[in-house]
Amino acid sequence: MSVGVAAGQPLTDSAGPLLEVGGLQAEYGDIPVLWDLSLTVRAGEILALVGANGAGKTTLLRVLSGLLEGFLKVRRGTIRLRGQALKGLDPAEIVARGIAHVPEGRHLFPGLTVLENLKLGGYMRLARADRRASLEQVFETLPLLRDRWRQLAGTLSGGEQQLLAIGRALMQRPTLLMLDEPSLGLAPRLVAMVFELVGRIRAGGVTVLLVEQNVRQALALADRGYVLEAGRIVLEGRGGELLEHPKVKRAYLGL
Amino acid sequence: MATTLDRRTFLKVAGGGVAAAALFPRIGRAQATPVRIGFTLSATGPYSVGAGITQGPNYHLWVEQVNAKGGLLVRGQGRRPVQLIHHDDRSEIETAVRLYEKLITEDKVDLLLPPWGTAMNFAVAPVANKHGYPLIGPTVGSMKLYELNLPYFYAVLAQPDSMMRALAEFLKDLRSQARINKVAVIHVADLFGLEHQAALMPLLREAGFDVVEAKSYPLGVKDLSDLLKSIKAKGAEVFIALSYPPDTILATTQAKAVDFNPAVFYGAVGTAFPFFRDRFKASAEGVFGIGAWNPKVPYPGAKEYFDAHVRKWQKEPDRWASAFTYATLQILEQAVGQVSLDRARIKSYLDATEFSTVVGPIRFTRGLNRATPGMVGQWQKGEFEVVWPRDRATARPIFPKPAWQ
Amino acid sequence: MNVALLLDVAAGGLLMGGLYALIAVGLNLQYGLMRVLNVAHGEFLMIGGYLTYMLHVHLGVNPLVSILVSGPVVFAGGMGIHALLFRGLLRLKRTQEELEANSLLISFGLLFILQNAALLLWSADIKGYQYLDRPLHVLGAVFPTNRVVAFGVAAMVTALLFVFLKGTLAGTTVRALMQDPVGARLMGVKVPRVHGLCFGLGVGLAAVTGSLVSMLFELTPFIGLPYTITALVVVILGGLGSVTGSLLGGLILGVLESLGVHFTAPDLRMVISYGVLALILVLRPYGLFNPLAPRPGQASQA
Repeated sequence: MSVGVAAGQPLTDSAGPLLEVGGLQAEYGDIPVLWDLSLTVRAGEILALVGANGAGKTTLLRVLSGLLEGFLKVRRGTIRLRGQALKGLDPAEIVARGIAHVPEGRHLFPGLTVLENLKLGGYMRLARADRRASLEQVFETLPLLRDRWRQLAGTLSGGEQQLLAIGRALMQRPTLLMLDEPSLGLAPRLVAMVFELVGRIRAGGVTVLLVEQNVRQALALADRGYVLEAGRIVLEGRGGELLEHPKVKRAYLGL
Repeated sequence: MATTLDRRTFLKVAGGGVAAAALFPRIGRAQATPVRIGFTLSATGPYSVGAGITQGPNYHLWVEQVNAKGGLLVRGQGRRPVQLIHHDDRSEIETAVRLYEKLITEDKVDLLLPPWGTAMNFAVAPVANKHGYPLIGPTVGSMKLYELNLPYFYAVLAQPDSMMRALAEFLKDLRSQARINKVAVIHVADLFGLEHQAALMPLLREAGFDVVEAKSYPLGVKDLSDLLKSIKAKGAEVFIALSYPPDTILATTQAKAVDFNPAVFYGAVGTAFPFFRDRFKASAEGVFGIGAWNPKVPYPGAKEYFDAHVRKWQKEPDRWASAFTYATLQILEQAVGQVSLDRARIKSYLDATEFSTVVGPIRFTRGLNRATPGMVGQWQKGEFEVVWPRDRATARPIFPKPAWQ
Repeated sequence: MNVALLLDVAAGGLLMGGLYALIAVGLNLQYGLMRVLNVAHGEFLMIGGYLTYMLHVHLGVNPLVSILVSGPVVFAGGMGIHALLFRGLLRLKRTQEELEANSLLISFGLLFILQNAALLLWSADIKGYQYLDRPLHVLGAVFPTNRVVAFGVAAMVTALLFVFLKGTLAGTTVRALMQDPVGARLMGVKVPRVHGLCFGLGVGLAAVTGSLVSMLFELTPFIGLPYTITALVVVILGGLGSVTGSLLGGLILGVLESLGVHFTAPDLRMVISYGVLALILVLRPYGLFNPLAPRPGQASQA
């Protein structure tokens, strides 16, 4: 299946895939939640991962960013970022290699100010000077955060919190940004705003892995997509193609 | 045999003796079998302070002295070494009761020594009594225990009735010298405090004192400063703490810190500890305490006992119940020497004999030593002087109490 | 009713409350952050007290100066103990409940080890010294000088802690980790390192409190546990994970205890503490000042 890469994009996949997942099997306790899952993320693309609740999308992102806690375990499989193995690293090391993860539920620091939330995003990865530049860049992308910098994150509205979560992840200057359900619980106007933002982020050179239940909009925006069902990849293809696929239409678009 | 043996060395020697006795049954079997004496003391918890100062050191001192003489003289058996079997009751009454049961029924000790403190003795005395073990308590102040009617239990200290009567008489005597009227009494919520308070209050009222405050506080209390502040605000001229060692220290520290300096400042257990004097230095001057003893008292062996204690432990015995503890051991030693280890006969002997001890003559009337009156002591220039009753006094009282230093 | 006396008693309670606050903040840094319920917290207070006692009585070091020793020494020891006992536990934990249960067991063991070590080193005798135990007259009321000084030092140490927590990136990281561990890990926070730091900091604060306590009260190897319980009450009162809450909670508990004891009897001090605890658990289970408490109508986050 061929993939069209948007013209004028700064990165091409000539150097091979950015992220490569092969034969991944993960279990929660003794119950497998990901079955022999393989996928690739190519540099510069927006990749959408869609599927019903409980299909394993969130679990996959947790595995990718090393958030293995509680009963979640990886049984077998490989995860490579530009050819380098990521499996078994902890989140701090994975962050250091350029993967930022905006988790479901955002996991902001509600008692910290907007500015403190942003600073924490950048502090592990960046030198002090870069941090300031990075902050300036995030404020430019998301001017709303500049206006609210002294406010406690917990007092922001849902949409503002989502923007802050994304801004915080951008502070890490990631190569790959993983977004888990960024539109969840937002009003339609804000949903559109978030998707528009995702497009701008990619335009800025960041590869995006987007997990969404809002299948229509996600696939419309994405270059490529995978459909996950019960821990397995059941379909993959270009965003537009998937939107037209009968199975997708039936199962996710209610057509 | 060496003149001084620590317990461990002694056990080795004793153990060797037992082995030798098994190999050569005809050679000196009797003197190689130790007299086994069991007890518990609190090594931990709120009672550990008193136990570690008043009782433990004297038990060990006495055993060392007896074994240095070749053992405890047992009538008809010559001298037999003494072996102590002891445990930490952790200041838990139920633990002490269990351990005493064990000492009697499993370890089958020959004799028992009591634990520290009124409540502890109250709990274990019935156990010892049931099994016919005489128990002579040196740190017991309870009429209730007496009312339990335990024929095998003996108390050497002046009991709450006579101790508190002495205090009340003393206060009346002081009142004849200067105006003191307002009295505050606090007591530890433990059998000791409860009984002394119950004995004291009617006497104070009878004598016409104005009791401005009477409150209890829990064992192991952390802070008394608020209570002391309100007592000070009520203008108390006499402060009486029916207290245990940690709280005696606490009340004194905090009275000083909130500048509460009544004409009479009286503390109970712990006041007579040398630790109290060393802790408060010049501020200890003039503080009164329950009971009193010092090496100047005119009884045979008193000075020798004091010196031996200092030699063995590099610290002075306390100026009240330490000497009484030692006296109970003198009594036990004499009884065993006169009647052997037959516990029923020891009891008869205790009931019928007047003993001469480092605290003076002791004679038991239905288990209570009525030969020693209630006394009041006072720190004066580094010594805890007996100031009441007059016929026992080693110095005149300092009154009113000088300011805290 | 004597209003002046009441104010006097309340102020006395406030002074004690300052110490409660300090030790509770220390406990909150451990329990609020990593759900490690360190029941041996008070033992570190006890050790701090003995360190100050030794330095003062044997070497003539001013008790206030001794804090510069007791705090850092126990801080370092705490980091070591964390690495030895708790680090593996945190790595292996599968659920929060499992971690709380296991840390409770381990710290109980620690409590007995530290208590018995103190018993061997310093014996069960009460130990104390006199320091600034003169009365201080303020506006007609009288306070023990050492309590006023202890309160002042506690306030200073707390202020320093606040500067650390609010003013430095490391401190911000600590707060972030308290508020959302998953979020913090995704920011690349090295969790075991921050936990170790906070455990050390927590017990270090307990030791500083102990140094101050040794100026006011006698020491025995058993003074720790009641302080742990008080600290726990304060932490729950103020809110888990809320440093400000612990501060205010400590002061409030100090005043409530003093007034309660004044109107009843010292027998009831613990009853008052537990009463406050029970009341809070019923009325405001998240504590008085917890910023993380779910507001009415707000769905709880997974």
